[in-house]
Amino acid sequence: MEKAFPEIASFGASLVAVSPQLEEFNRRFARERRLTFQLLGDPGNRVARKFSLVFQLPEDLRKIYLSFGVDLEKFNGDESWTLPMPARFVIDQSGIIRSVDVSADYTRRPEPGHTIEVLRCLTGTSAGAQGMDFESCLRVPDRFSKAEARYQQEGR
Amino acid sequence: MSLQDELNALKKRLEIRIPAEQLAVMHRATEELEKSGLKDNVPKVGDRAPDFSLRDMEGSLVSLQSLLERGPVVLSFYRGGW
Repeated sequence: MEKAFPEIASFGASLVAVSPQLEEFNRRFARERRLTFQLLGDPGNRVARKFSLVFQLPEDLRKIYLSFGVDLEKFNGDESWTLPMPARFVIDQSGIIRSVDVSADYTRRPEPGHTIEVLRCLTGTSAGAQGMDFESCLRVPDRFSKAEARYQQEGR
Repeated sequence: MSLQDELNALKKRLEIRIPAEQLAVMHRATEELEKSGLKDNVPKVGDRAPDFSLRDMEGSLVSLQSLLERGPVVLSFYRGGW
């Protein structure tokens, strides 16, 4: 998302990423990946729970994580072994959710280009959709496939 | 390559190195999560986002409401940096 951040910001939108990690690990992550957007700490997944994203790792999976050096008790500072499902929401200024991407499979992530197009339609700045409402704008043919192609060509 | 293509390629490379039984545990956990119906209760398009306040890396409290006053918000939940 770091690569998409400047374009997200160009729509006047903010990007925040929430995880149950302790602050020191968030800081390390931000440093290593040179992230410029905000990371917020959600100890115990209290906020993720409000979004119905929280699950607990079964015992056999915990052992595997530990064998990879991923000790969630250490990184998250509690013994719950709970995590949020990866999710991305686009929320408009009236607080209404306009786009949701959530996956039980953490290897599936929403394309940054998709989020950009949602923002483009939300802020009414789509050249091909002048005067259209949000829903119609999203339905412009090939919007998302063209967005992906453009996003890749520009080397983002 | 799209992000998902990159992730799929990475997943293939990593999974080759993981013993089959471990892979089975990981896949089973993902399936259980899908079947649990947890996703059904995730707020949907058109719902009001629950408000919240969390600390950023400088220790300052950031609320969704304060972010929304400045513009739309892209809110991402992730597992961690590991």
